[in-house]
Amino acid sequence: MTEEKLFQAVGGIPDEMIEEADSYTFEKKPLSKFRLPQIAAVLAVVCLIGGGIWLGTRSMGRSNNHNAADPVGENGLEFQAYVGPVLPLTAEGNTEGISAERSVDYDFQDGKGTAAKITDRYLLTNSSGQEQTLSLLYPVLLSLGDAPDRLPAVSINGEAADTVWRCTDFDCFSYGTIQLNDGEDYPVLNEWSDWKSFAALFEAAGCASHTYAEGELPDLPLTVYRVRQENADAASAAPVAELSFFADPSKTTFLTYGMNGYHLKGDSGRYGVCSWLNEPRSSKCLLIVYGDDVSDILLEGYTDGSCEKKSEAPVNAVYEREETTLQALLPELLREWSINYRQGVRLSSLFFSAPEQLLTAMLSDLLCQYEPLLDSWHLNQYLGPAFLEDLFQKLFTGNIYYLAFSVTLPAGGSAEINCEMTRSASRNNICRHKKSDPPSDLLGYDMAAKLGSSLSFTSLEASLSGASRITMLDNNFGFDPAAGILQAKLDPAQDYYWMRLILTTDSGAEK
Amino acid sequence: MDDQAIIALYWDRDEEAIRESDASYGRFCRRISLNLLGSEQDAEECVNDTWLTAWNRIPPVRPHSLKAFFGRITRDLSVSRLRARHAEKRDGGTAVLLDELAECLPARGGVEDTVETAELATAVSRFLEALPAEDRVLFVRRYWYGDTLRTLAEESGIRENTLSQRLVRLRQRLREELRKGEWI
Repeated sequence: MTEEKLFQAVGGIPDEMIEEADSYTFEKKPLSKFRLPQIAAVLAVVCLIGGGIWLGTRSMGRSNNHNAADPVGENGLEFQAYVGPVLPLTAEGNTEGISAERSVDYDFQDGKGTAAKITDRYLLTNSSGQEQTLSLLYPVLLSLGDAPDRLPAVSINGEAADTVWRCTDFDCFSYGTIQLNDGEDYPVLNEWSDWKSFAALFEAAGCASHTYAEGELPDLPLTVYRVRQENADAASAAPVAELSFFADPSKTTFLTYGMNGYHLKGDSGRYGVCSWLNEPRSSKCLLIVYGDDVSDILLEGYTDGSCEKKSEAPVNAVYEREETTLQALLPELLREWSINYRQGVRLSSLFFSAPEQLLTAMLSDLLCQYEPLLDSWHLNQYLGPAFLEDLFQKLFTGNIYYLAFSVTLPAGGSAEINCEMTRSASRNNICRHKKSDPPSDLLGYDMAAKLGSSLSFTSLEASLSGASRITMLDNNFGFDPAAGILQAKLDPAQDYYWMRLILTTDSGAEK
Repeated sequence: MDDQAIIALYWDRDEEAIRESDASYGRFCRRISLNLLGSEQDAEECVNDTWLTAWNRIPPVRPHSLKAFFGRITRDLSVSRLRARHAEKRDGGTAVLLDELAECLPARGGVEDTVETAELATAVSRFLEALPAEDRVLFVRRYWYGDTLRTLAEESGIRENTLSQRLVRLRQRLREELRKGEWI
């Protein structure tokens, strides 16, 4: 069978399906032609030109649909960079006879930048007549590129808990990042910029039941050609080495690692992959072949990166062929990639403390999405030669992670669980054009009281610390720092709490 | 003018049928052809050929759905034109569609070339019938109409990356169905 036959077969579908597809109305609202990062970039420029438009009024920015009693409206907080709420602890399995009291503290004194230090405390009580061991899960929105303090530190009765990281399936829930004008990356939930959409997605995804901590990579057989410099100090050698070969794209998928892409060599039917020898992208330069092996391999020197002008100088490189598997190769390349990542992007991030088995499982999860492409034995727009490097980068896609741990509660006994972390605020990057627009340095923090949790909460409290660093604009916790009200008793049956504030200096002047 | 009236014009061999067809379905057919051929001039010629083909087929054919009838003709003519235009060189939007659909098939071995396309179409239709409406529509819009991912993303409100992953899964499921049906 050919793809054309299948294309013809698709052409033979019933009339009803053709009509349905033409008249179908999608439920979701159309995306703007201008994407969020583009808007952010444009507005950042406008902000710079305008230069500190918002300096005066403290009046609350409200959308027309909102009223004084409910200023954020039914969508909850809405921000360009909405980072999602602090989520409640949950448990796997039976929780009958277990009750939970929860208190959450937002500490703006100990936070960094716009982040606050969050302490999410739980007192779990076992009112049943027998000992119970609970498998608990603490959810948090993270990217592996986040700072290490974004990962909650969990303790049980004051002792550090033995936690296992779990990741949610990438196709269940993931988000990207947006770089705002302070140069930092902020997570942005896929197409969702408000609490209501987040909660709907979180519930629909059933994140807690789609998690993993371990996974196996596919055992695909591969042939690898490693190109390496022969003499490190061969200054007179050709600056570029090209490995060229014949391959039948219907029978061979080839990938590269650490090379500068691939090219077709004119009408010769040969493919070429190349690398600068004096400034290689990586200490490992590989041509990776899946399927039928490539043939008639040549290693030649060039003077230019596009491999058009052959070098008269000798090529200072050799290549070696080896047979391996994707299962064996990927961890090696991930380790290599992480060294480059540490040097080039960030010295410290959660990536470096993530358990290797979790990274392997995440790679396996990501590969599952590409498996049909790998199996199709040809290169296309989804599977570029630098696919593996792209795949590693995708590990940094934000997701809902869970910290899994267990606690044993004797009959009638209780345990205190503390989850401490630093969390960025939700924020905008817009200028204030009219009084009704929100201030550009408006920050949002919110909290889900019961979303996704199987625990039965009997009480819920919240408190503010370091309140001298903030000016509270409005909230539904019941906080009023100006009046000294820094603690609030909340209704555990109400799912959503939020606050909007502006950071100030300790002296009260605006930041 | 409604479909029955246009069909009646064809049966009466009234050339007004072509003008009315173009007025009602010209834009629809141009979109399909343009998606596949990527050339406005070629698309225009294909649409004109569509009316001529319809003139030759009606009568005796009395289409159940005129829109689907015209759309099919346009699609077939566009693919034929593409094949002729690029006998050697793969080009245009269709090459991408073929690449994507090829993922549902093994590259080597498999079924005999003698398998009837109509039977395969029935298998594909059965697969599509079992899908949720939105998935089915996305598949048909991509692989029947040849709509680009960007067009689908803008219309559906689904990000292009998400959409492409969703189509990957749909193709994977189709491949599984074809495998189960021993088509591959």
